Amino acid sequence: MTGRAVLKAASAGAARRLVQTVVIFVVLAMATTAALVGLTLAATPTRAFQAVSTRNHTADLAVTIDATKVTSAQLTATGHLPGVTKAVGYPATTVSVTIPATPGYQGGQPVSGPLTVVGRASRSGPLDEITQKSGRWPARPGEIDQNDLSGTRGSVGQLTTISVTSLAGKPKLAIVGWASLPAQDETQNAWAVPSEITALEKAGAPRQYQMLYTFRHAATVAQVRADLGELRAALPAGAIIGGATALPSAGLEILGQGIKTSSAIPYAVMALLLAAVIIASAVAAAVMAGYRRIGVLKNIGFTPAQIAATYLAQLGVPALAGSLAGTVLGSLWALPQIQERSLFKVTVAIPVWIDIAAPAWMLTLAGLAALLPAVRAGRLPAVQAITAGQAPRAARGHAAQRLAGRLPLPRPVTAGLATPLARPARSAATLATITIGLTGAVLAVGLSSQITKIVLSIGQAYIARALFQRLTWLVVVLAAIGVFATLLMQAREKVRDLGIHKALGMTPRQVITMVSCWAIAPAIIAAAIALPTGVALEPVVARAIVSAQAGPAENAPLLPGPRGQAAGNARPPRQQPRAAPGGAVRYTRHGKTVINAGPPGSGQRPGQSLFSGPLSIAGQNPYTPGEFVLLVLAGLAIALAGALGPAIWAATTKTTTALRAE
Amino acid sequence: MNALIELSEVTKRYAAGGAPALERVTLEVAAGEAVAVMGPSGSGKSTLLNLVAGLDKPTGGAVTVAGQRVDTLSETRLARYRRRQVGMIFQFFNLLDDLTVADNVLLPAQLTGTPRRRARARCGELLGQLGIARYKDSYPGRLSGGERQRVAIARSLINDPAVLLADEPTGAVDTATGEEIGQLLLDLNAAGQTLVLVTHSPDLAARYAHRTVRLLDGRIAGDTATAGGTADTGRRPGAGARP
Repeated sequence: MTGRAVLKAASAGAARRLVQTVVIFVVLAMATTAALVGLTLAATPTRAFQAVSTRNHTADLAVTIDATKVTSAQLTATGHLPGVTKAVGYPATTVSVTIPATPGYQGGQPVSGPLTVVGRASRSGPLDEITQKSGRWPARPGEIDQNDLSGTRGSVGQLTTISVTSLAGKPKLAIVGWASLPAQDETQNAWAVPSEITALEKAGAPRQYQMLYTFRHAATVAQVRADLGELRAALPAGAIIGGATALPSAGLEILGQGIKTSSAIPYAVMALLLAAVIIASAVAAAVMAGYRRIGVLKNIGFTPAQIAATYLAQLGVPALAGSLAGTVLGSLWALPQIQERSLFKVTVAIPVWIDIAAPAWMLTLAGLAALLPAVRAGRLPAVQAITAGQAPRAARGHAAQRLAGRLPLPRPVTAGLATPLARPARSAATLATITIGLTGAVLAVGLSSQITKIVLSIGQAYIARALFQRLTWLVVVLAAIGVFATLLMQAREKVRDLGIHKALGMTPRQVITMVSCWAIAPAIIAAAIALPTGVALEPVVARAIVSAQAGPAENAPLLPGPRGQAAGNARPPRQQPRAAPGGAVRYTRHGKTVINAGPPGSGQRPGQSLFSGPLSIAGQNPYTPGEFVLLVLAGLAIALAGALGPAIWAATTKTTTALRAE
Repeated sequence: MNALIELSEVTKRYAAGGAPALERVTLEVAAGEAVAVMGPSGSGKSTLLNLVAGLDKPTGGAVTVAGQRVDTLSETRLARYRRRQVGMIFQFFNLLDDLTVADNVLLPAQLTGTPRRRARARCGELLGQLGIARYKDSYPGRLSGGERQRVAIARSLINDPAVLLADEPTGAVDTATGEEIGQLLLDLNAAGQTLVLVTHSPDLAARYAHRTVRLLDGRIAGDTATAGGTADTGRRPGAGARP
């Protein structure tokens, strides 16, 4: 009987306060999503940033073979090495091509360089899947499908024909499409039908093979190094002339770790903090809004324990549903969205403990946030409980109202600016959510402007930038939801006051202005906190990214890429590589060698001092005054985005109903 | 009669197909008149007041105040109409607890954009006339019911409204205080203020109104002259009225 009474009171309360119930559900869902994303990024960084070849249908290693130095039998035998699980080979060749002067690309100048073309009948192979981004796969000789590394297509999309300058007659190749691999693989610059390779070889192009391998153990660079060593031992010296790991290249794994220690963890912490603040604020407000009802229940005869149980049940059901929905949303949509486009379309299975920990933590937070005010209300005498929710907190915010009243601003604005001080705890929650969201935006702006200068690979820099942007959107959206939930609760609490204003002649637009201004003061204070915090945090994160790249020797690139720079995928001029004796590849920037990877086995390692430039850049202030202004406006935008819904509700709620509210 | 308020065949239903809160009510109130609206609970008294105040819209018929059709105005225009033409006094005062007495009274003037100096002067005048000047920096929570209602009356008068609407103005105060409030309203009407008063109290109606309109089940059941109220002196509402 007792339990039934509690459940009845709880279900009736939830049904009557439908808006509150829905808000709790949405808050828990979004907060759990954020917590799940945050925990996953922080706890499983290597997995999160590794391209898992089995999931992604890519090879672990792609090597270019000089066909004049091996026999078919030797190549076939590599497929049966102890460490190899699968091997497939394609005819290939490397030619020199010239891209004609193209407006918007490389300063509009012609660009020459090598192009490694692989002969394949289709995009789908036993070990990999090439994605056609535009156009089509080659259907006949003379056509190529260009590998769109680093999004080069955006610059040369209008290009249709290139000339093979290393062969007599300078045959032309028509670009019929742009495609991409899951991994950055610069050993395959373009694809053509196998007979095209034959034709190029007949015209004098070198005979090569492209061999793709998967291995039993290829989860780290060290393992792939060992696999490569096994291949090298099985083939004649000099047979392997180039290659790439279909794992993120060594640089990306280093970068991945750099991202983990630098950007993922700060964003993960932001997401978790936001989730905690929002839940605590929303749930506590929901309980306090029902104080009068608690008093009535006590009058009927509910004990303090039953009161607490009633509220835990009333809020617990939408909270549980929300946290479960958030777990599903985070697992199936949010996390893959963040990872997919940023990182070679990788989706990573979330560890089970995170699937349990994220909702459990959010529910625990919600439970604590509900329990404390519910227990307090349960202990109050019935009369006090009834009046506690109604009694004006006359002492709070009076000075602010008086001060605001003196400002030469319209009354709705001054009333709105002063209101937050009457509810300091709730205003602190609003302030915290906007501060955290804006800090994420400040961090992203700084890192985005520096990333191409501190990350050695342009492609990886673009990927990192995309990741910052997605993580920033996550925390910004969550912050706006936090503001929405808090202000909606506040508007419903102050509905009678809003009704009085409207009865006295405040127009709907003025009501919207007033409620929107509830969030303005916190937004301004948030900007004062978030800007210096983000500015102080940015160089820490940037230096971590740089430092992670200057790692130990085993993290150096495995293999030299193709000699020189592949045409059609050229890096900006400042990073033009130069072929060096012995097959080493040097990339220069501003005349200084940035990477100097010697031939395999040379023991040559990147010098720590080679990163002094990026480190110096990482320590510089990347922000412009204009960006600061925009970031302040961004804080206001977060606040207003969250305030708009409650403001419109306040403006449209019926005045007569509002006046009868208690 | 030069009607200030005209209700013409006004009907109000809150639910389609449900019983009307008001049904084909036709009523006129002259400028300077004091009219009491009486009736049992659910008879439509507050609904009628809300329609005149523009807080609600009729389902049918027309509501005209000071020559302006109120029932066809947009929400924004209704808000402006309420600021300028209507002063409302509620049973439970409906003061803003986080504003001082003076700020509560000034609020309607601030919404109309009245120059600050003029508004403050008018506020001081009203508080003085109503005997609550000493409370101008106090907060409503510290005042008695009668004092709060005086604040509400001052607030309702600050913009010199054409119509003063009072919904059970003595319902939340003791008898003695109710007498004081009633006398205040009488004095306001004596100064020329048009007054529509909703009350349960026949005594209040008899003493402070020229007419009593009785509502029953949403319809006018009676409209009789009473011995109460005062003649229209033509003076400005609030001017010279003393508690």
